[in-house]
Amino acid sequence: MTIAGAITGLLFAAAFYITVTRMIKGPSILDRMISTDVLLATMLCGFGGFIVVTGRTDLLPVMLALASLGFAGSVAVSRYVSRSESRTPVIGESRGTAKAHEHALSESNVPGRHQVGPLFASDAEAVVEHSAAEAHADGDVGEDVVELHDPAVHADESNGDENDR
Amino acid sequence: MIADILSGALLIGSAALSLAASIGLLRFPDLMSRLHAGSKPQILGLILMMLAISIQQFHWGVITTLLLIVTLQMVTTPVGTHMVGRAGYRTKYLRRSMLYRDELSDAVALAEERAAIEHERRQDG
Repeated sequence: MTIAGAITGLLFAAAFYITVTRMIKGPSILDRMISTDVLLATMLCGFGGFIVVTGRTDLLPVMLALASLGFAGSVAVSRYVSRSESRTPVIGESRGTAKAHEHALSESNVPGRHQVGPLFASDAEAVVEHSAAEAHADGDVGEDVVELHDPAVHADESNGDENDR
Repeated sequence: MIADILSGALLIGSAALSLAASIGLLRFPDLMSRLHAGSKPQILGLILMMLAISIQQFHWGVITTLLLIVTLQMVTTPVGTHMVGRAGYRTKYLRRSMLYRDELSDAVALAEERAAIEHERRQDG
C-alpha cells in the first residue's frame, strides 16, 4: 500500500505540473479556466488517494464541497468572455486602438497566410454578418472615446435564446 | 490483503488517468480539443478512486457520500465545459482551420436572424 501510495503521489504531482504548464502557456483565458477545472478534479482524486492511504474519513466533506462548487469559476469567467462587440472597453481607449488590438490577436493575423479573405464558406457568411453588424455599430462617426456600457443591459439582443441569462 | 492490492491498483489507475488528462491538455492543439481531454478521463479516474475508497472503508455513510460526490461531479463538469466551449465558439478563440465540420453555425445563424427580427419588431411596435 505504501508503494502504491508513493507511485500515485508521483503521478498526481506530474499531472499537477503539466496542468500548470498549460495554465502558464495557454494563449487564451479559456485555456486557463479549463486547466483550473482539471486542477480541481485532480485535487479531488488526490484527496481520495490520501483517504485510501491513511485510512481517515474526515476529508470526505472536503471532497464534497470541491466537487459541487469547483465549476463556478469557469462558468463565471466564460459568462464574461462574450462577443468582442459587447466587451467592456477600458476608459479612454479609442476605437482605433481597440480594433488594432483585436486584429493583432485574431486568427487572420497569421504571417504565412496568402489568401485574402475567409478560407471556408461558413467564414464568408460570418464575415458578411460581422461587417453588417459593424456598419450598424459605427453609426456615430467621429466619436473617438468609447463609452462604458453594461453587457447585462444589452444581453437580450446579443443571443437568440433566453436560456442564456 | 486482496483488498489492499485491489485498492492499490485502482489508485494507480486513477492517478494514471489524471496524468493522461493533463498530458492531453498540454498536447492538443485547439481549445475545443482540450475541452474533451480535460474532462473525460477525470470522471473515470474519480469513479476508480471512489471504488478504491469504498473497498477500504466499507461503511454505509462513506459509500453514500462517495456516490453523492460522483453524482455532483458528473453533473457539474458538463455544465462548466459547455459554458467554456460556448464562449470559445462565439468569440475569436475558435480556429476554423482546425474544424472538419461545423454543425453549429447553421443554428447560430438562425438564432441571430430570429433575434434581429424580434429587435426590429420591438423597435417598430
